[in-house]
Amino acid sequence: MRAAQNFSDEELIMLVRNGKTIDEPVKYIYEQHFYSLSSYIEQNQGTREDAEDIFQEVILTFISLIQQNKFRGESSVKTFLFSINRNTWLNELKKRGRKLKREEKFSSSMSVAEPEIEKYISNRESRKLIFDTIENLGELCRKILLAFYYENLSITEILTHLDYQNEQVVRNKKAKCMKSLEEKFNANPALAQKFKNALQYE
Amino acid sequence: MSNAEENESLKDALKSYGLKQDIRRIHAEMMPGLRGAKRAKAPVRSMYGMIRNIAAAILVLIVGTAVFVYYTSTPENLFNSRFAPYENSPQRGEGETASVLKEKFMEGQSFLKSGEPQKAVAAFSQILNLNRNSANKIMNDDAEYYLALAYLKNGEAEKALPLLERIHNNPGHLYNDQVTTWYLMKVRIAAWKGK
Repeated sequence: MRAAQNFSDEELIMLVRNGKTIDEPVKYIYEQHFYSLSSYIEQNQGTREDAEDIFQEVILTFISLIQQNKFRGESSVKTFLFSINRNTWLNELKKRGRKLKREEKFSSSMSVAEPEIEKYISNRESRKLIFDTIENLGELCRKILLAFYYENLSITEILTHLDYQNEQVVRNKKAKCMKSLEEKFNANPALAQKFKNALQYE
Repeated sequence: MSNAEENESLKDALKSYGLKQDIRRIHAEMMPGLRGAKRAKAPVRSMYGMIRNIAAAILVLIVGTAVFVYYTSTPENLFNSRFAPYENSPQRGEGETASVLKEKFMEGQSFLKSGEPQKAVAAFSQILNLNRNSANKIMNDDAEYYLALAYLKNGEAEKALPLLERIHNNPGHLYNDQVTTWYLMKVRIAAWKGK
């Protein structure tokens, strides 16, 4: 395990918001917060596997909220992460038909205090459906679309990575893949409707 | 029909998915080290540690006291802590026997002072013997107490012990308040060590 360097809360948020990759800040969060957050899960009816799955979701939520400027820095990163962790786990337990008795009173008051977290987490199910849809897109389409929209590579850069004759072929392929993805989403009207909410981009 | 490539929601979905995959990759990279490493201490310190420290401190104190008491419970120390020369007070209407016994008692006293405990033991024992067959017990309590001290002075705590126990158990005894439970315990220790 390579030790990430130390970041202050401000540095961490700046890096998540503007950094080229998320590797450094995410590694730092693993080193600093994995144990305390996973302990919470394990002490509240969760297994170690649950703890690891939830932690990945917590980071995804954390980064998404920061990139959407939904973290106002009123609490520390640690508190914020803990809050996401708890809310995510409560949501998961609810989904499984279980509930933490001592958290019942709590969670209703929490939603008032941290509506952004609550809102994002309430869309877990829809998000999972969206991810599953992308998963089913086929590997090649996924590669091209992720390279273009997530990694922000140029068509030229993608051309060198993937084995295509010229840029136009890549462009065509990309357009086709996007079309295909859109069709998949539209095939599920309920999902299409939830779509925007689930990602919570405005 | 809108152009799929202009669909912002699709792009956002892809960004979010990419992020998820990235996190999964970093997770796989980080977990082996984290699983192997020892768990960081919980920020909340349990009461257990503090209670344990207090208990340990008390134990050390008790053991220390016990050791101290054990080593200082010698017949010599026990004698020195109690022995005070008897103050002779004139008594009215003393009979002949009484003055004989009193003389004997003062004799014992002087042997104790001069460091001849064996002779003191003999003197005090004599008083007790004489009193045993007499209805009028003279200076019996004094003789008992000082006999016990004489035994201690002579290093015979085990002989002093039954006398002191009797004094301790008899609230009406003149020297009852001299023989406290604590003192008696130390005599027991000294007697046990002397075995």
